[in-house]
Amino acid sequence: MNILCSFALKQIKRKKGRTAITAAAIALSAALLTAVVNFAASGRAMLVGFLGKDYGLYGGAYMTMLLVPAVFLAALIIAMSVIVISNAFRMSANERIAQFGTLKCVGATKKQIYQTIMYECVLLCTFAIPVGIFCGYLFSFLGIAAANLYMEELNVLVRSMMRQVSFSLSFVFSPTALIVSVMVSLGTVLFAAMLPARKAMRISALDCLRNGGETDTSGCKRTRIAVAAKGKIEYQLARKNVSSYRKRMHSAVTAFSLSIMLFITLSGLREIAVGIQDYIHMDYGYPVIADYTSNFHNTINPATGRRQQECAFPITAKKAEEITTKLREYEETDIYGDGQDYTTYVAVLTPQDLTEELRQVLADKYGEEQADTILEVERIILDEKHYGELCAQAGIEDGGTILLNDYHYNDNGTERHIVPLSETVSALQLEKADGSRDTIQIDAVLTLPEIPKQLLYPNTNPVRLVVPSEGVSVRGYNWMAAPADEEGFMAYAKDVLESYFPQNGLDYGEAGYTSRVFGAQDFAKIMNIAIVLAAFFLYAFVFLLGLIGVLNVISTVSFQIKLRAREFAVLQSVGMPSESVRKMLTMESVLCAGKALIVGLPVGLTIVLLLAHSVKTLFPIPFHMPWTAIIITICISFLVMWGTVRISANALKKQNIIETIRT
Amino acid sequence: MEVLEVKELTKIYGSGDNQVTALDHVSFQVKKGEFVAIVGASGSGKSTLMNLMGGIDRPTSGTVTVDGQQIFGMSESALAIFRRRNIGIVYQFYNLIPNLTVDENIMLPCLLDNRKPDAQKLTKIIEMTGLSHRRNHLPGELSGGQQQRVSVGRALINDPAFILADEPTGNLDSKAGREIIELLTTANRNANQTLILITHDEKIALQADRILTISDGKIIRDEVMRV
Repeated sequence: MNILCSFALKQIKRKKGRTAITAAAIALSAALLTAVVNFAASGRAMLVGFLGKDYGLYGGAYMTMLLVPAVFLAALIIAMSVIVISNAFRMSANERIAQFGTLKCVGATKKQIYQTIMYECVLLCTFAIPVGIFCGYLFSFLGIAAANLYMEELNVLVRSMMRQVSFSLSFVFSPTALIVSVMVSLGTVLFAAMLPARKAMRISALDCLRNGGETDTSGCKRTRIAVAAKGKIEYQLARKNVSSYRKRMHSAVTAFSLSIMLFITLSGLREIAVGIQDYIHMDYGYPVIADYTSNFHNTINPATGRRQQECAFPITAKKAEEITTKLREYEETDIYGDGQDYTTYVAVLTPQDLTEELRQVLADKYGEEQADTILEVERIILDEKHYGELCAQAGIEDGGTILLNDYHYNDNGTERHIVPLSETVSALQLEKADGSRDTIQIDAVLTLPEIPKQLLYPNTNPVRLVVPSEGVSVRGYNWMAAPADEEGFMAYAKDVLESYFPQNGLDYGEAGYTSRVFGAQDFAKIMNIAIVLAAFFLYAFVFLLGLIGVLNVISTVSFQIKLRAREFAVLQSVGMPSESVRKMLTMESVLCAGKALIVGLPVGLTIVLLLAHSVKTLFPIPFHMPWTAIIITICISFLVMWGTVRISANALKKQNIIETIRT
Repeated sequence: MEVLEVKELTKIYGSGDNQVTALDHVSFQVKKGEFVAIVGASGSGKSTLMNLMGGIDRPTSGTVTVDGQQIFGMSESALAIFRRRNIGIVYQFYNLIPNLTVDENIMLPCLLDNRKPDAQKLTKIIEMTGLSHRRNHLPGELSGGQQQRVSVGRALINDPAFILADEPTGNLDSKAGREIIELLTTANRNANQTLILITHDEKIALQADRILTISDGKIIRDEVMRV
C-alpha cells in the first residue's frame, strides 16, 4: 500500500471516535442527498403516471414544482455537509500538523501532504457513501410507504371533488438517480476535504513544527476582554476563550445556527399552514355538500370592451328547486340550496352610494377615488323554503330583493367586516356587459348580525343581492345537507344529480359541467393530509440535517477540549481547581450555544415573518409566533453544548497534570 | 571535496522596529566526511542556520550549495524531493510519525519516493541502531533513546550528503545521549558520513573535527580540532 494511503488508514484506525462521527456525517449527507434525488425520481414517475409521458399542458410547471424544492433541499444539504465535513477534516489535519512538519522535513512534497488528507477522505467515502446511499434508499422507501398510507385517502377525497385521479407514489430505483446521488455525494465530500487539505499543504514545515498541532494561529485572536480581579474568574476566562477561539468554533456555531434556523422556519411554516387550514375550514352545520358547476369561458364584449362570461350549461332556478325537492325526499334531511352569479351585472355607484369605509378600502386597493364606482354584483338565489324564511326575517313579502350589506376583506392578515353601501341606497343601477341597464329596487337590507351563516363565505363582493329566483339562471348551485344517514344520502344525492346531469363516467368538466357530492370536511381533510405529509417529510429532513450539525458540534467541541488539555493542565497547576475548570467550560458551552441561537433564531424568525407577511396578502390569518419550537430549540441547543462539554471535560480528569503539561 | 557551501547567508525576521537579524552574512564550507559541531548560546542563530542548511526555511539573502546544487534556486516541491534524497535531519524531539512502526519510520524518506529501500541496507541500519528486537514497535512503545536512534536511522537510510543533527541529546539522559553520539560518530567514521551537529555540550563538541562558534548570528570562531 502507498505510504500516504497507509498514513490515512492509520489515522482512521487511531481516531476511531472522530472517524465514526465523520463517517456518520458523510453517510447522513449521502443518505439525505439520495433520499431527495430518489423522491424527485419517484415524484417524476408519479407525474408521468398522472399526466402522461409528456406531462400534459402544464407539465413544465409541475416539473418545476418538483425540481425547485429538490434543488433547494439538495443545496441546503450540500452547504451543511461542506461546513461539517470540512470541519472534520480540518480537525484531523490540525491534529497531525506536527506530523506533516516532520514529513515535510524528511522530504514530503506539498502534493503528498494534500494527498494524505484526500486519501483519508476517499477511504472514509468508500465505506460511508455506500452506507449512506443504502440508508437514503431506506429513508425514501419508508417515506414513500408512510406517504402511501395517506395517499389512498387523499385519492378518494380528491376523486369525490375533482376528478378520477390516482396519486400513487411508488418506490423507484433509477440508475440515473443512483449515479447522480453517488456523484453529488462524492463531489460534496471531496470538495469539503479539499479545503482543509489545501490549507494544510500550504503551511511551511517550520510552522508545522513550531506550532505542533495548532496550525491555525489566526484562530486564536487577541481579544480586548480584560481579565480583572473583580467578578468570577471562570466566567471572565470563559468569555475571553469564546472570543479568542471563535474561529475554531466557527463551523460548529454556523452548522448549529443553520439547524436552528431551519427548525424555526419549518415550525413557522407549519403554523402558517395550520392558520390557512383553519381559515378555509367553514362549518355551516351541513356535513354533506352536493354541487353543480357549468364550464364557462370569458370573452370581451366587442361593443363595450367589458368582460362577459358565457356559461356552457347554466342551471335554472327551476331545475335547482326540483333537485332540492328531490333531495329533501331522503328521510330526515334538510337541504339548504343556494346559487351564485357573479358576472352578469355590475353596479354603477356614485360616491354617495358607498360608505366612507368602503371608499377607503377601494381607494387603498385601486388608488384614486373616481366619480362613479363600478363593482361586480353577486346575485344569490336560494331554495324557496329558505328564501321565504329570509324574506320573513327581513320583514318583506316573498319576491323582494334583499341587500346583504356586509363586506369582509383581508386587511393585511386581519379579516375585517364593513358595511359597504350607504343606508340611503334604495335602488341600484345594474349594467350588463353589453351596456344594457336595469334598475333594481332594494326591498330590505340585512347587516352582518342578521345574515345567515350559510351566506358568509370567503371571497364575497361588496354588492350582494339575494334575488327572487324566478327566471334566473346561474353558473353553479350548492345543496348543503344535514342527513341522519350521511353515506346513504351521498349515494342517493349522486344518483339524483346523475339523473339531471349525466356525466357517463367522464372526468371533471369533460361533459361541459361537473356535479359532485362530498363531505364538507373533505377540503379540510385534504389540507390536513397535505400538511401532515409535508410536516412529516420536512421535519424528518430537518431532524437529519440537524443531526449532521449536532455531530459537528460534538466532534468540534470534544476536539477543541482535547487540544486545550495542556492549557487546562496549566490552569490547574497554578491553582485552579478542576471544578472551576469544568465551570469555565460549562460557561463556554453556554456562550457558544448562545452565539448559535443569537444568529439562528433571528434569521429563522425573520424568514417566518417574511413568509407570514406574504401569506397575509392572500389570507386573513393572524401570525402566531412558534413559541414551542423556540423553547425546544433553546433547550436542545444548550443541552447539546453542555452535554458535549461535560463528557469531554470528564475525560480530562483521567489525565495527569504534569504529563499533560510536558506533552 | 565540499559537500556543503554556505555563502553570505542572512536571515532577518520581522520588519521595521521589530526586525531581528538571526543570521548575519554567514559563510563556511564543509568537506565530505567531515564532522562539524556548531556551538553557541541560546538565541545565537544555531537553529536558524540548521533550518536553512536543511532547506526547511528560506534565507533573506545568501546561498546554500549542497553537492554543487544551489538549493534555494529549486521550487518547493523539487527542494522537498532533494531533501529526502540528500539531507538527513535529526531533531532534539525525535519527530517520528507516531502511527508508523520503527521499520516504517526509518524507511519513510524512501517510501515518500515510492520505492522500497534495499532490505540488506535496512537490516544493517536496524542492527547499527540496536533496534532489531523493536522493528514492529510504534514510537510510543520506545524509550527516548530508542526513538532518537530511529530518528538517526531515518537520517541515514538514503546515504545523504550530510546529516544535520539539532541537539540530538538535549532531550535524553546522559547514557542515552552518549549512545546517540556514538551512533552518529560511528556513521561518520565508518561510512565517511558528513555530520553537522548543533550542541550545547562542550564534551560532545570536542569530539568533532571542527567547531564553529556562533554568536548574534555571526560565526565568531572556526576551530579545526583534528585533520
